[in-house]
Amino acid sequence: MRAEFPTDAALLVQNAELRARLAEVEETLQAIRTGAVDALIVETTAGPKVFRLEGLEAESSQFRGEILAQVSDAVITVDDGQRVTYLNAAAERQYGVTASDALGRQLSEIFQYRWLRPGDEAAAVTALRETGCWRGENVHVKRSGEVIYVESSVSRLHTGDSIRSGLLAVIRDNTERRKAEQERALLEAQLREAQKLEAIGTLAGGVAHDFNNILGTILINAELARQDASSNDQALVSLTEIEKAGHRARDLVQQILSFGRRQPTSRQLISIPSIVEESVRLLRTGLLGGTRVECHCAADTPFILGDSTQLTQLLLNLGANAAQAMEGRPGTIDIRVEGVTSDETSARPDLCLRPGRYARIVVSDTGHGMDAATQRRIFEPFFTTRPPGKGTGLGLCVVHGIVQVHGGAIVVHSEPGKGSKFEVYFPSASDSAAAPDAIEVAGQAAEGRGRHILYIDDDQTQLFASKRMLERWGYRVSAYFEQREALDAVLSGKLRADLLVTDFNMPGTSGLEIARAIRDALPDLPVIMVSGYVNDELRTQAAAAGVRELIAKPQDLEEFRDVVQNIFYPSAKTLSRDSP
Amino acid sequence: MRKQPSAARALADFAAAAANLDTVCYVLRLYVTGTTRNSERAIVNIRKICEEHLRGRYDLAIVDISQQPTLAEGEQIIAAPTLIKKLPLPLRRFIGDMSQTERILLGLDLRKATDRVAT
Repeated sequence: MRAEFPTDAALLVQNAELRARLAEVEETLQAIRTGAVDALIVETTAGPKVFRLEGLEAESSQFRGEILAQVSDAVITVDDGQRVTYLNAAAERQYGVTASDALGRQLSEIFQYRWLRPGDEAAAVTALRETGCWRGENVHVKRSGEVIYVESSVSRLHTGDSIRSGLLAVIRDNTERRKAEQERALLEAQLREAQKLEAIGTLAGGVAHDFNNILGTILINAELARQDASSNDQALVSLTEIEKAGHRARDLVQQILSFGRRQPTSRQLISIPSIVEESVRLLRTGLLGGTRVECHCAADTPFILGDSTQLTQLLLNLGANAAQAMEGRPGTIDIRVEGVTSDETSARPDLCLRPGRYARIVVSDTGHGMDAATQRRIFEPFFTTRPPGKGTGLGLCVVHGIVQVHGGAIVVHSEPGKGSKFEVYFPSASDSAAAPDAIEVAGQAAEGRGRHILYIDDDQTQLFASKRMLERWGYRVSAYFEQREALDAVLSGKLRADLLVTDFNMPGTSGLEIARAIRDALPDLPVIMVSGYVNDELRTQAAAAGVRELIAKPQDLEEFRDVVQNIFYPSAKTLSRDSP
Repeated sequence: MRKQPSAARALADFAAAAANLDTVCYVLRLYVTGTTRNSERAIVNIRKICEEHLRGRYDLAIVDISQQPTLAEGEQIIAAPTLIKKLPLPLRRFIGDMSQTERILLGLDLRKATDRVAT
């Protein structure tokens, strides 16, 4: 049998392959000699095994590398072409990448950065050029789209190695700290805003108090004059108009006071949807043609403790505000009521809201919207964007007062041209404090029949008018505008009174102090106190001081008459109210 | 029709293949051992070469054999870092930190020997 010999061509191919293998081996050896190889892979019976080619220097370098790897801030180096040449474990975690994925990539593929202020970038470039380092804050946007606020310290790398030259950045994620700072700043701003509104409210309340006294005098005198001018039709018409205007002014004053004092007049268990339905009905009747009102009430809306009149007022004011923003153009006012839960973990619409269950009313419109400057001022009394004479500037400020009174919160979202949305949160009844009882004002009456009333008020015109009115009802009245003089007279026995009526807010001795003195010395002498604003605190104090009745000023004459009569005849029916 | 001479045909095929080089997709595997010095440098360098010369037409996979040496099985890897050009054929290997850009470009058929910059 003849042996098979390879052909010349086959030998040439084999030769070429062997030369290539040899070249490869030589290349590998050269790479090992020059230190370009980190490890050798050797085939063993148990499979391939990796042998690292690392000496003492490498160990030392590895130790330093470990230190850098364990730094809690992200450390990244980039070459002059902005390619990532190193990143530690913290950087891998911070940007959600692995070293093998990030190395060699453009830094912009790992995150995008934004400057916080115009001019920051130029300042950083200048600092790096002139001093070789820059430290500052900016924003990084990760691949995932997540935004983080960072503080970076960037310096030039000088290693004499083309790969290792470039920039070194140590980056600290400040997002959580910044968020906490922003939250604190927001709380401080809310506190400042609340203090400002409180101050304005106090000022407005003070003015309203004086105004109230003047109004009381006007109304009482108008009533007296109307009774005297019963035969003069022209004068009666004028006096009726004076009374109407006086009542309008009194309502306005009550609005200012309800903003300034922030106490509910009564609190009951309230279903907001039922109030919304009533309010929407009222609102619709006053709307211009093109505006529609849509109302959605969720079944899970919790009950709240509140004053139904004030809540109706709140809805009407918000609705009127929305309608004004529409300016008669076609559009929709959307009113939604639902139950929401605020907890520690969820984003709270208002930082003042404690965790708990809330009833939320959302009133949104498709009107002209508001810019940020307007939004900051909308709850200030008398602030209005409407032309003079078109708005009092009290609507939203009253809303704010009502919300505060009910322990709730109000949040506004608006942009010019995109409408406005007011979100009002009221704590559910189960989360509210126990409701104080409302004052029950009874209305049993009797005529004066010569009974003696001691009347104390520092406002002489008010005092004079009240005296005249009471005398007309058949009482004898001793009027004092000096509290001490009145007290001396009654306590010494010089003056024997059947009833004492005193104003609450007076310089020097207050109505409460007078009541206490009477309670201690003459417990059988009933006391009625009159105040410009009746709140729960005053009710409690008045009850403790022995005050039998507390009346809001300016007094409604019929109510005042009933209260006085009720002191003398507690169980009697109203007696001949219309008789002279 | 007269038959084209074989030499001329081979030349035409070569020209066509050379023209295709601009569009052909490269499949590359870089075998490294964790984040050691040369491995890090090799990743940075090969990615830079790919982005500059093969943008949009390469598939580069980084394979870390320090944790799982079996990943090197079947590839005849004897040192790390090693780059293997799997496609287009012929298969080629490069050992080291991939810092010799010209040699790698030549080996990847991205540069003719005559294109070398004289130094």
